[in-house]
Amino acid sequence: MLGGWLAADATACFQLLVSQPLVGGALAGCVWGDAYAGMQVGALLQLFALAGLPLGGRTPEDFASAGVVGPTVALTVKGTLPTSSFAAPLVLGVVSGLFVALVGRLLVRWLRARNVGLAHWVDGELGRGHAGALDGAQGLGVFHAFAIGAGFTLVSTVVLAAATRAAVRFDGLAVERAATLAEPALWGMGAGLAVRQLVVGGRHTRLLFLAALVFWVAVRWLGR
Amino acid sequence: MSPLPPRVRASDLARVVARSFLLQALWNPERQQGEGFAFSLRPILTRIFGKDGEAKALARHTGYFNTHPAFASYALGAVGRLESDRAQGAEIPDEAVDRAKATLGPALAALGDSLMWSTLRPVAAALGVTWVLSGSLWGPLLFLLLYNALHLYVRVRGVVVGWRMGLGFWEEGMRRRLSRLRVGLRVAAVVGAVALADAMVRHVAAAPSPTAPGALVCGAAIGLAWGEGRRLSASLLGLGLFSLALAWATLVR
Repeated sequence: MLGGWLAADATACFQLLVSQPLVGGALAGCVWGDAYAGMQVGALLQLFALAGLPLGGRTPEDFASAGVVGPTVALTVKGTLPTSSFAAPLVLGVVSGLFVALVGRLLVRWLRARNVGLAHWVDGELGRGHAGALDGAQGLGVFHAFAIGAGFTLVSTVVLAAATRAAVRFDGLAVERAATLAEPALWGMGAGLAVRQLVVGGRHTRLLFLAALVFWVAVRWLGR
Repeated sequence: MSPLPPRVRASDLARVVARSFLLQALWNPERQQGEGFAFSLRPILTRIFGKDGEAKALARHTGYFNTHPAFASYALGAVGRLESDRAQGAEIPDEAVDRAKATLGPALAALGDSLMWSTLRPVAAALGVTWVLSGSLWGPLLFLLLYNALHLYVRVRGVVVGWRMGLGFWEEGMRRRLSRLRVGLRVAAVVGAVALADAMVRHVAAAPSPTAPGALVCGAAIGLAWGEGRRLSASLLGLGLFSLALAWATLVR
């Protein structure tokens, strides 16, 4: 249900950005009883989500489903690892989320292509004087987005949770070691992507950012 | 002589605002927001043309239209006003309405995309993530509040201003006000970027692994070097990074 709601919010209705992984992660975390863990996975996915802008006719990656699947996978494998550190569940959740975002994009593209047929049907009905057909088609558009989002979230959660648990059972130690290295690298990459988005907009913004960064380093250094 | 059609009421405009939240319900590659535009405008068209003429009027508006979903509100108000003026006797041909939509779509998209997608969303997200990394549970709520304060204001205000001023809303004053807002958001973006960098350094400094600072710097360098519009997706790059780490962890014991 959560996956469907967030998928519908992403494009079809409202667009209050509840579908962004930062919020989706918190909601999924609440559902599984650990809101802060879900939020952490969502926060890292959010930094990656910032790299894709839904401009013009471009179909963005499906970070609405990723925001639910990622935290769910992380919380599912949390208790199965050799150590109690959250680094490995976090990385496995984020990796699952990134995979879902990529695959989900194909599904969103397919759904949008399907809407062409519905739009042509509306044309015919309006030509016959049935104005209500437009409202019906719009409702169907929202329902399709909800149903496909919910189905995709459910299937990918089940498959990826099983796959990650199997990987952990196969060689949990290697997964832990990989996560120890990958976790700061992924945070760094996410931050780099976000900073790049934040300081676009000409030389003045970049200079202001550099000045602010130098000021921040000086304050931190003096504070030591 | 036929009587003048009834005037549009404030409740019709309120329904246009409510319906505009479904602007992209039938988004498709052929007409993009075309159907959604007609759907949102329906309360005004029904009021003007009545139940008998609304289907024909709606069919004129289902053609190609695309802009930023929140800023579409200005176009909805202005086009609704054109339709109303026309019904009240002003000589406005069909082509003029189509031309207005074709002009407003890209202009509002340029404004909305740069203001909302490229500036406000990253600023709100950076501050939200920073709060989460500092241990607060309120990060997602902060993100939603920051983004939706302007988003909902534009949704409502756009229909009202577009309706009141017609195509005249697109005057110098509005562009000046919005460009001032953009400058303010750019400054907020710089603050957000520094706050995020600070939160990241604190987060990694707390990690027990000696490789963490180096991995953070390498990751940040990759992220900064990756540009919008590259063929290789950032998500794919992230998956590649994890695969390399996993290969290293498996091969080097």
